[in-house]
Amino acid sequence: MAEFSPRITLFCCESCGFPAAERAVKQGYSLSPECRLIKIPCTGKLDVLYILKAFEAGSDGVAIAGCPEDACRYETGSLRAKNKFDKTRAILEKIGIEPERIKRWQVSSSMGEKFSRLLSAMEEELANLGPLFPDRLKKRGDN
Amino acid sequence: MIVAEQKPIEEVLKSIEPFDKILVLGCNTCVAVCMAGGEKEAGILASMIRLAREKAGKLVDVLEKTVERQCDDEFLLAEKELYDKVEAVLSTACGVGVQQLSALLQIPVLPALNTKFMGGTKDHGTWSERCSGCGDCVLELTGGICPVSRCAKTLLNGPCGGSADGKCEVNPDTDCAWQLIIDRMTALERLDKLLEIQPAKNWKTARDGGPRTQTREDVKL
Amino acid sequence: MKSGSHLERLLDKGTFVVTGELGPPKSVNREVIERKVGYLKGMVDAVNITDNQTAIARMSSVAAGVICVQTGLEPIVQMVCRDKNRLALQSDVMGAYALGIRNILCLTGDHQCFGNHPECKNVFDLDAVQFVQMVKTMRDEKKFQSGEEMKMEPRVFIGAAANPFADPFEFRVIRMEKKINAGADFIQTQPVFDLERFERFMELARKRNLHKRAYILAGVMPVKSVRALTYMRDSVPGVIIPEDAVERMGAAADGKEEGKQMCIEMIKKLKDIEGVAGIHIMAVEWEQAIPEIVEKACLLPRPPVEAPPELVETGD
Ligand code: SF4
Ligand code: SF4
Repeated sequence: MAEFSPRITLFCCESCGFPAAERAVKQGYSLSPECRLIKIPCTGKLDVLYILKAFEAGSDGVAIAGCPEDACRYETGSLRAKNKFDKTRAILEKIGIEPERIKRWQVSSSMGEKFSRLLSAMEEELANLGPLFPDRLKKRGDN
Repeated sequence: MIVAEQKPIEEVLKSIEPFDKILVLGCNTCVAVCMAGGEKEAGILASMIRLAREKAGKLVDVLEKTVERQCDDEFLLAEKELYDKVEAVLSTACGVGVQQLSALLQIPVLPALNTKFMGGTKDHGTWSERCSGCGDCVLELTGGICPVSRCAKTLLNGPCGGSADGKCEVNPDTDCAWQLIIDRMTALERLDKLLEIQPAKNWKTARDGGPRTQTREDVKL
Repeated sequence: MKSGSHLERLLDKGTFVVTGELGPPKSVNREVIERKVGYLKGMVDAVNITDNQTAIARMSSVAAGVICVQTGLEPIVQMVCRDKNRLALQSDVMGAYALGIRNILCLTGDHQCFGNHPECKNVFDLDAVQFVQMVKTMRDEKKFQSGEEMKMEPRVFIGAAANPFADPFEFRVIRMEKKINAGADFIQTQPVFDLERFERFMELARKRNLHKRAYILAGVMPVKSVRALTYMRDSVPGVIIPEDAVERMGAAADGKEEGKQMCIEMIKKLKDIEGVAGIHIMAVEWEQAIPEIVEKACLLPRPPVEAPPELVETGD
């Protein structure tokens, strides 16, 4: 079996998270084809349901990349995201899924390097954890 | 509204364990307002169930639907074809909704919530009990504060000797209903009302008289 | 004469009475009661028998009261609304009377969350005021709470409790008045540690003439240590412990001696308050302390127990 490359869904806010990702790529970071970036206006808008849906849809991990708490474009957005993040972690734990599969990052738009560092670390951690649903991996075709 | 909260997920998973195809049915009235069983909560629950069962290696097919009210057949019957597709329904309505649907179906209808009380919103995310449906309202005598549901001892001639600093002896986070009643009656200049002895309550109109039914002949067709 | 109980006769004569308290055992052992009666006999005029106090299951207060009668000390049987509805309360009042009990203290009861069965269902069909009213109706009108007639009535002396230290303060006197209006013949208060507040309470009671309408017995409690005192202050709702009492207990070399001494001093002060008809000593699980307290508070000897007057009883 080829080395497992985890599928990660990244919810990035348009003010910080997404520009940081763009910067990382510009600085030469090569984004794995298994990573999906989803641009949202603010991570505060994120709902527990979307995160769970991302797992249901086949993600091995989910990251929420938003503004630093004290410099959020929408002031409380990043804090709201924290509530949802905590709640989702608790849910995952209760239904037997490793809570490490979800991450929350605070990055400003200029932090391309931090973004790539965090993502690489996450990929490594998830690779060690293995796929969320091993049975699905066999079926994972080219999509 | 009727206030409820979700059962522990372990309990829900155990109750649906024998089934491979279920419907999670939300209710968009009371339990949506108290964020326990509306469309959003039903969606999250359905998602949790799918993930948990797949993780446990026992896939389950989960359909989702939310109706306006589960306490009226009218709304429940509109989803008839969905019930035929599943082995059980997991209802996120209050206990009333679960029973209403159960009476219509030949398959199990399981509760996803613990139904708790009739109450109002205190502040965002907090709801408090306000009425226990005693069938003979005394609010006129108590300044609009219900001693039946809000006094831990349902006293009609309170407060008991445990009332201290405005709090109930049962729990320092709970207001003493009788302190509230006295304050309110004082403000309304009706404190003298509380000097009258309230006689023993007739509990026949409450649950103690057996399950209750109400019929309005004038609205019958 | 309402009941002819020893307690009633003494109070009617104007004797400054002394009552004690006895907690039935958490077992079937009647010797526990007999032993405790041994400490109290001749020291108090009557003794309260608590009813599942603080919601802990114990031998029934009626049964323990009967053992008390048999051992030669007059009981004041407590009954709480928490555990029994009006049916059970009335049947207990009748049964208690038939077995020789003449004083009944009607209480609401502590909430079950404090006890050893916090998961139980409570009753509270009646509250204490309604309970008093019901017993009075049985005794004076020979009627059950439902209005149905009764042939032979329980002629009991009816007691109720008052807590001057709970809130709201002004309403405490009003609630006592409600109990007296309902038919309470005597009142026992929660233990006094805050004399100043108690004096204000009695002043309000006198203004409303309540001391002339019912006998008010002031409660006292000897404590063994500063820890017990601060525990009550911090953890028992509706208790007020003044700072100087805590300091005094804290500074004492022998907590038990100091506790008794403070109790004796308190009794002497309470005796002088107009409208206080007696003293109720709550020495919970420390009944041995009572003889010394009663003696040093100059309350001995207690008047002898005389044979009760013949009550004319009718019907079946
Ligand atoms: S008195 Fe009865 S009807 Fe009125 S609010 Fe209270 S429980 Fe409800
Ligand atoms: S403290 Fe107040 S609310 Fe609590 S039981 Fe007593 S009277 Fe009722």
